[in-house]
Amino acid sequence: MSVDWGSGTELGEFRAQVRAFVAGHAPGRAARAGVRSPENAEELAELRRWIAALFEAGYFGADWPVEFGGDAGHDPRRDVVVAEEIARARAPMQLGGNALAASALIRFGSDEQQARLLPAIRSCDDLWCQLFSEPDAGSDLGGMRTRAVADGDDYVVTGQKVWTTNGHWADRGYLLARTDPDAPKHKGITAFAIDMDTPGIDVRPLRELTGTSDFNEVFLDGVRIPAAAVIGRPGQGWIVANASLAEERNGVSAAVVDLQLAWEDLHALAQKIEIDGRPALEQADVRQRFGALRAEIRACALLGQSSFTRWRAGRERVIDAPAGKLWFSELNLRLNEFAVDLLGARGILTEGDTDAVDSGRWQDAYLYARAYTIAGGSSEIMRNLIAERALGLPR
Amino acid sequence: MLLSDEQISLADAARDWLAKRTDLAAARADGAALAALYSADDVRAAAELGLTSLLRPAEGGTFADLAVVVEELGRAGSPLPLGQAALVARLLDQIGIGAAVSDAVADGAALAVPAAAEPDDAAISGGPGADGTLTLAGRAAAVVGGLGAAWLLVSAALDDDRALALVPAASATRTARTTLDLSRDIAAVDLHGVAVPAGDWARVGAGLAETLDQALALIHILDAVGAAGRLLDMTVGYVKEREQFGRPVGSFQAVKHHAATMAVDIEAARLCGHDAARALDSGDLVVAGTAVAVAGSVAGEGTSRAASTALQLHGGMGFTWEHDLHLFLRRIKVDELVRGTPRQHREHLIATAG
Repeated sequence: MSVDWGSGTELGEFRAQVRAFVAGHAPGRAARAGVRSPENAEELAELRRWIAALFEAGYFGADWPVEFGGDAGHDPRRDVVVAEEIARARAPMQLGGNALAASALIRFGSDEQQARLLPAIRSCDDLWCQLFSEPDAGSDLGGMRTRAVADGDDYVVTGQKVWTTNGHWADRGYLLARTDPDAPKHKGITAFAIDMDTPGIDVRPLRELTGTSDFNEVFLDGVRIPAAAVIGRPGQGWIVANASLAEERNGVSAAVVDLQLAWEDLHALAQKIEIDGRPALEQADVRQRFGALRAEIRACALLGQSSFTRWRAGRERVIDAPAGKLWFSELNLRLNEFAVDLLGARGILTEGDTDAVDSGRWQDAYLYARAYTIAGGSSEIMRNLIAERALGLPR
Repeated sequence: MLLSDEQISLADAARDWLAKRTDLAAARADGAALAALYSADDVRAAAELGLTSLLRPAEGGTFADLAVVVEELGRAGSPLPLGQAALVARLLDQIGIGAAVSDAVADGAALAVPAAAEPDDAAISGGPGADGTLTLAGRAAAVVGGLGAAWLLVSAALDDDRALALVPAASATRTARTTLDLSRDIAAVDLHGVAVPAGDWARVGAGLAETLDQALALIHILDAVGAAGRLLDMTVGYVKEREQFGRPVGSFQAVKHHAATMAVDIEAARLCGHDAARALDSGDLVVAGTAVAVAGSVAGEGTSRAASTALQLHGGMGFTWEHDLHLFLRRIKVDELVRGTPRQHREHLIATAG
């Protein structure tokens, strides 16, 4: 199901190398659905070692500038292979905050920022969180109200951020704040690289519907940060943020591997559990659902491959990224709803119950699935984007 | 996996030509599709463009190229069964029978289409005689283009093997069907007692018969993708123009979201269809079988849903006989249900899962 660039080819050999590396180095923690935070300090330390090892081996950061450890002859298809192999092993992915911060710093950071911050991303001594969303600025990110007021050589930041993944573990934050309240909505925003231990920052973990704490609220009260923390120029924050968000290209191919594994596991499960005294997989309606899902997962893979191929050929279209995101997130939701339904009355049992199927994996995935249709641009925002920018419908 | 420059040129040429040649108004005349809706001149002109010969081995033609053309036939709502004809020319060349018919199809002197039983029906059977004659029995319930074609390439069961037999269409009993589709002629073809002389039929492996089935399914999948693409364009155009409450209805988010869902469904269907075409070109029957079933499942449902949404977004205007919309909606539903339904494609995908 992964992108097939041929076995025995250079990329096929690369895939085998990565697979062996992942098998030898990935943390042993049990995988939960989705993007999840370490649950304790040990897991955090393990995660840092794992990410650092991937950079050290050249599997992460190969697309960086050579002076910061990148590979001049880098083939972007290798990034897809790496993402797929990590997903196949159900190992933790690149940290979203770190990838985003690296991308912003490489494109817009000062020499001083790059020299100081990029090596610590490679070694994973720094864990970054993304401080974009606010209670009143989610889909309408441009409506953010957190203020950064210039004061001598510093800025003083006051406001509130939310949905901050890994905020409670983060060493640094990639912050967007309004520096010019009089400028048009998207023009008065500035991007900053801040230290999370700066006085005035209060991180409060949020407990999600899954029962775990992966996100946080972050309160900023008179937080004094140096002007040298600005990424790019003051007022350029919207451009900086959008450029770094657009860098995320390998998400769909890794997500397809997740879906494929889930389908295979569920398929195996449906041969064991019974409905009306027969294996569930012998029921006509169950077979139809499995068949349809197999086809939809393949379609997801093709959407991802097509988007990637178009990007490499310089023929990317507006519809490509939102179509892939929509297709994946809604398919993932359907698959996990189907999984829980398939289990019938046993489907009610969750992690912690001795009889829970697969230790409650399907229930966790079912609850988590809506994270994908909401985060990173909700399904509604994706449809607006497609309608207005790809189909040209009036705003 | 992107279209080559040559394929883009081929699509453009086919699109321009079909836009000039296709008369959708003719499809709205009562009972129009009870006969072929095209002229001998249309067929000759299509052949001159290379559209009936583009699968012949000597031309180096590929299913990937065919996919591009078939999508345009659907987009135009064309009555011409050119994909089917190109497929017959290829198969005749491959099995080494009917060279004159293959040439005639390529030259546009005649049309030939495949005739095979629908997947849920009993297979057409062939009984070999001592003199080398093959006597056919059975029926193909829905042969698209069967009324206008001069020749039929019949797929029949022969012992544990398969046979492909070339028969003059007039030798079979053809019944024009009144179907949902007003833009193409569709016939039931009864082959009972048709005797095919030696030299006009060949015993083939199950593989070639399977390729024929896969290719026919693919033709309908891509036809639906093209037709749905046309509906998307019509719908986007309409909701930009149509005003209610003082603004274009396309500025309402409910309408935008429907249109976006159409676009995504069609894009997924198109990618699956072209992937299946490439899989057929690979010559690997198992890979092709899976890819065709994937496309049949995704496109069958997706294009029909897109057509239904197109109607909703056109409001009462789309509900009229005079509007072209229903011609495409009807055609898409027929494409979904002939040569393999989404239900059958899904069963294939679960039955073949490792």
